[in-house]
Order: sequence, then structure tokens, then C-alpha cells
Amino acid sequence: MTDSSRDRILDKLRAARRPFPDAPPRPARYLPVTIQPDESPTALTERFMAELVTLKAEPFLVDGDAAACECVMTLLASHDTRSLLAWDFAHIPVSGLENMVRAAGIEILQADTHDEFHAETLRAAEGAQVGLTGADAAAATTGTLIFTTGAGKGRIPTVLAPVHIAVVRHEQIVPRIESWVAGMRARGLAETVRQHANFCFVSGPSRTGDIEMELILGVHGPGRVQVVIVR
Amino acid sequence: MELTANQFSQSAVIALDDIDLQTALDRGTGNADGRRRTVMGELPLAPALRQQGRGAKLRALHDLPDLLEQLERNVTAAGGTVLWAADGDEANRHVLDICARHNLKKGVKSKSMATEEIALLPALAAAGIEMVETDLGEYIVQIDEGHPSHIVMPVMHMTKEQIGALFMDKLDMPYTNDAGEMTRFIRGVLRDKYIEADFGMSGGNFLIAETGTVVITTNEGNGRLSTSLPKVHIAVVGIEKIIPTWEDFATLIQLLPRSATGQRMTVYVNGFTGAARPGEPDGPEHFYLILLDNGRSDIYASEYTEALACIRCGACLNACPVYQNVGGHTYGWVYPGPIGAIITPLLKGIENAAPLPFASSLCGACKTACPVDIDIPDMLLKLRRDLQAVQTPFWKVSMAGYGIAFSNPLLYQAGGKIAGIASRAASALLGESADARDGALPSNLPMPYPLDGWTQNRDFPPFAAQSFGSWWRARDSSTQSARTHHDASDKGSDS
Repeated sequence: MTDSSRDRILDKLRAARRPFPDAPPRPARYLPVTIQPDESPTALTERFMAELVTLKAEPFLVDGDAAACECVMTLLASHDTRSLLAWDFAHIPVSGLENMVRAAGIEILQADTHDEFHAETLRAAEGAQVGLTGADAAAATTGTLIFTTGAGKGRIPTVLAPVHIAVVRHEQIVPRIESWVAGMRARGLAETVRQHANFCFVSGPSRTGDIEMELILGVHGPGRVQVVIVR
Repeated sequence: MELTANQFSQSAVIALDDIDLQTALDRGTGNADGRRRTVMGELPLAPALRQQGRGAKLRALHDLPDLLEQLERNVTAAGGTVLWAADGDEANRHVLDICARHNLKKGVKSKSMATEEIALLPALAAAGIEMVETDLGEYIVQIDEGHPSHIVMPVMHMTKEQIGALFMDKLDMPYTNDAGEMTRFIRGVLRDKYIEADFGMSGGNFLIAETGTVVITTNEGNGRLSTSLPKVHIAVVGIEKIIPTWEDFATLIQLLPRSATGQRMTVYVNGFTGAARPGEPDGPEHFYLILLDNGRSDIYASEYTEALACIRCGACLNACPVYQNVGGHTYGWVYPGPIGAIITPLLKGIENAAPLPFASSLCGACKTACPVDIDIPDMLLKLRRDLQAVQTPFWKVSMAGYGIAFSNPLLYQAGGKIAGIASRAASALLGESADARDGALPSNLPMPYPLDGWTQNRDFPPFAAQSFGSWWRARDSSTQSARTHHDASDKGSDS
């Protein structure tokens, strides 16, 4: 049944005259969508922060790991965090943070949903006030956090809690989406992509305009996205 | 959903008289089109970027069968399962089979026009499987037991006051017209649905062939929740969504939100390459991609292949003066607006959507707004031409006669005289005023069957007592001498 539909569809497409024989060839160099003339680390950090503000996300620029930990702890306290949905701290690029979170008596949930207690695990995770993650990269011109999945790097901490705090090092900021793709291309795109079941670009807090295009934040995903940038 | 495209004229009249609809459309389309212009306008290379995006889609269509096979290989290699569906029924059967195999009873769904097209929800309901739409707009449509009126903003046809009343009626929410309060309320309602769901469903905005990656975009985060929490993910995607490479994706994923909602990026761009890998703490253990044909291969083989380049941004809807006034439901099926006026006749048969190619002033605003430069007006004209093949024999004979009469001066003059006498005789018989008979104040004549359709919507005044031709000849002879004199003096001044 399935096979016959597959073959029928493909046969029909092959029987048709190939459309657009004059389609432009794949460009040797693609034009980037966004403009960012100055690609120095300082300029990229500035642009990334400005775009985050435009998206109604909240950037925090700090110098060094100690200041970063302090910043995260202050943010956690401001959300009255008792339960934290987090990546494995090995993937959050500042040292010493896990100990500080534990010392503050905050429960750390690293939800693994691949067992028989699926619903219970999710219900506990849903009670967390904050999701805490690192990021794979950040794209400056669109204020985009880029996540890929892997061991210790789940999808849920980026989306389930009402607040998402992401910690990125300033050298992780690339100019634009195209730069991240170019990086994968250079490393071997097919293999790089196949390592992860999922990638996600997150540009600002969850939002909707479905009711008369009025902007409302925090529909299903986090209404607040706070990005700690470590220099 | 039931196809009512042939009732376009009647539906349009109702839509134009609907004050709530007109209010909602004014607020919605004006906003969306303005924002698109702003963010596309800030790209100095916008024209070249449109061509870059268009090139990606055209290359994809040129190589469509090869790319689909490449995609299938890559999804399978990543631990996913690819199923092919010749039509909507087969796609729905695939979904029901998957539900039976994994004992799935409750689902959550991200917004998808493809699942709307195949009427997935009624098929699931008939099998006793609960499916909840999680996009705010689609959820409103679902509890209202209605249909989306826009491919990006499903409840563009409703005011917030109507939505507040609906929530009061269906969800016992105290009445409010505050969009923020309503949104927070729905967030609470849907949380349990995500947690209890056995499976999540989505459509797909792009299929990246070179890695077997399915991409969806949402602003609300419902797409990420629907595909991250449940143990099974089923994506239903039209075969035309394929693109060759990640560079093509990087261009199109930015043109899409700029054109759709005037955002520089959609909040969540979510890509799936197979099922969750060993060690990944969450995500679906089973990933299914259902590739939907449902008439697309017919479009592919027709002269309308370009319609398959559409990335469903909705910019042509927002820019269209017809859509802005009649709204999406008037088009009578899943895909409204200028692109719908092409896709609906092609997918459902032109005889079942005959008015749609005419639901356009051919002003070209749709083509100008399209991020991949689809020549919508040209295709609408071709569809008008195609419509002749399915028109009534009477119409065909009449138009052939019209062609002969208008290309032969003697026949034309004779016809004009007969029509003039006949129309004045008819108006005299019907007791029209003397003024009207003189042609000073033409009033309307009802035409007899089978021409009565013409005068139902149009004025048909009686012919003037003197035809233009006879007036011209009379004028010609009386001014002959004066003109000769004038010509001579012109020549004199040149030399």
C-alpha cells in the first residue's frame, strides 16, 4: 500500500517534464539576509544585546565566571526559584554554578522522560519556576539563541518553565544564522546535523499575535528570556 | 472542510455586510502588511534575496523526485520512518495505523495547513482519538467548531470581543476583551494537555533534503512543546516543502517571518532529524514523516508548477484588496487569498472553484509581496482561460458568436442596430420613462433566460437612440471641409 503510493508519486513526478530548467544554479556565495559590517567580538556582543532588547528578552553582560554565577543566582532569587529545570551543568559554560545553586537549596530537575514515569516526570518538571541552559551558539543580527540536543542537553529546559535563563560565552556569538550554518558546513554538515535529533533557534520570549495581532508574551513557552553573556 | 468556493459571490456579499468581520480584517490585514513592508524595506538587498529564495525553490522543484528520495534516505538513516500518502485519506490512515501500533489515545498538535487540508481532526475524532490544537488561534477555531480564515493568523476573522464571548460560553471564563488575560487563561488550559499527550503532531515549513531535517516554526512555543514532551511525533508535510540545502534554508527561514508577520525571526524555529538519539533526555522515541501528495503531483505536471514554490507566508493575503475586504472564509476552502485562488481550483477542480480566478483585480500586489516572486496574476489569467473548457455549451457558442460579430464591421453594425431597436422596444414594453428611452437617463433592463445571470449583478441600460457609428459618420461629413483646411494650415507652419 505504502510502497505503491511511494512509487506512484515518484513515477508521476519523473514522468513530468522537469520544470524550471533555467532555474539559477546554486550560488557559489549566498547573500546574507542581515547586515553586520563590524564582526569584532565587541560589536557582535553589542548587536546581540540590542536585538535581544528589541525582542523583549533581557541581556546581562558580565565579566568572568564569578560574576556570571552571581548574576544567575540573583536572577534565580528574583524569580523565587525553588525548583530549577536544568541542562547538565557540564554544558553551562561557567564553573562553580552547580554548587552555588545547591547551596541555595534550589531543587535541580534534570528531567529524563524516556521511562515509564513519563507523565509524573513531566508534571514535576512543569512545576519548575525557571529553565537554565547554556547554548550551542548565538546569532547576533537576529538575537537568536541556537540549541542542539544531546546527552545532558534536553529540549524541555528551553521551553517548559515560565522563565528561561541561558548562559553563553561571548565567543559563542556568531554574526548571523548563516554563520552557524557555514560553521557546520566546514565541520562536515551531514555528520554534524545527524549527531542531534533536534536543533532550535530561539529568538526572544514566546509570543502570540493571534488575537487581533496584539502582542502577548509567554503563551506556551517562557514569557521571559534572560541571557547572561560572559566575557 | 466542505468546499464552497462556487458560492464566492454570495459569501462575499455576506462578508461585506458583517461589521465584526470588517473590523477584524481592518485591524489584522493592515497591521500585517505594514509590518512586512517595514522589515523587508530595511534589507538593502531585498530584491536579490527574493531571487535567492526563489532560486532555492525552483531548484527544488526541478529536482523534486530525486530530493524526495534523498530526504527519505536521510530521515530513515536518522531513525525516523517515512510514509507516503497519495491523498488525504491515505495520510489519515497512516496516522490511525501509527496510533494503533503505539496505542496512542491523546494528542497535541501544532498548527498545520496540511492537516487542515486532509481533514485530520474529524478522522481522528471518528476513531475516538482526542486531538487538541495548541496554537492559540487554532485552539479558538477548534472550540468554535469553525475553520481558520488565514494561513498564518487563523482567527483573523474574529474580534477580541467575539473571542471573549466564546471563552465565556465554552470555557466558563469570566468575560473579558483583554487579549493578555485570554492568552494566559489558555496557557493554563493547555498545560495538562501537553503533559497527558501520548503523541504530538505537526506540519512542516521546510524539508531539508541533504540531512533529512523537518523544520517547523512557531511563535508561541506550542510547536516545541508538542514535539518535545510526547513519546511519538508525527509530521504531515506536503512534498513541495522540500529544499535542497541548509544554505537555502538559512535564506528562506528569514524571508518567511519577515513576509508573514513582519518579524525578523520567528521565535521558535525547530528542526527534527529523526527520533531522539540515545542519551538525549527528552524528545520523541518514534518519529514519523508522512509525505503528502494529494494533488501536488498533478500541479507539478501542469503549467502551474510555480504554485508549488509557495512557502505559505500569507503575505499575498494581507496585501490583496479582495482578501482585505471579503476575508478568508469567502474563498470557500482551506487556502484563501490570491495563492488560494490558484491552489483551490488546481487541487479541487476548476469547475468546483470557478469564481476564484476572478476574485482578483489583477493589481499585482500579491506578486510584489511574495517573498519568492510567484507570478500569481499570470496564473490567475491562465486559470480564467482554462475555465472556458469547462463552461456550458451555450456560453461557448455565445462567446464564439461574439468573436465573429466583433471582428466583422458589417455584422457589427447590423447587430448594433438590431440590439438598439430591440432594447428600446423592450424598455417601451416594460413602461420605462420617456427620459430613459431617449437615452438621457438609462435605466435597467432585465434580460430574459439564459442571459438573466448577467443582469442579476450588472446594469444593462437600453441602447441610445442614435448609435455612435451613425453619429460619427454624420459628424465626419459635416466637419470634413473644416479639417481639410486645418491640415493645410498645419503643413504651412511646418515649412
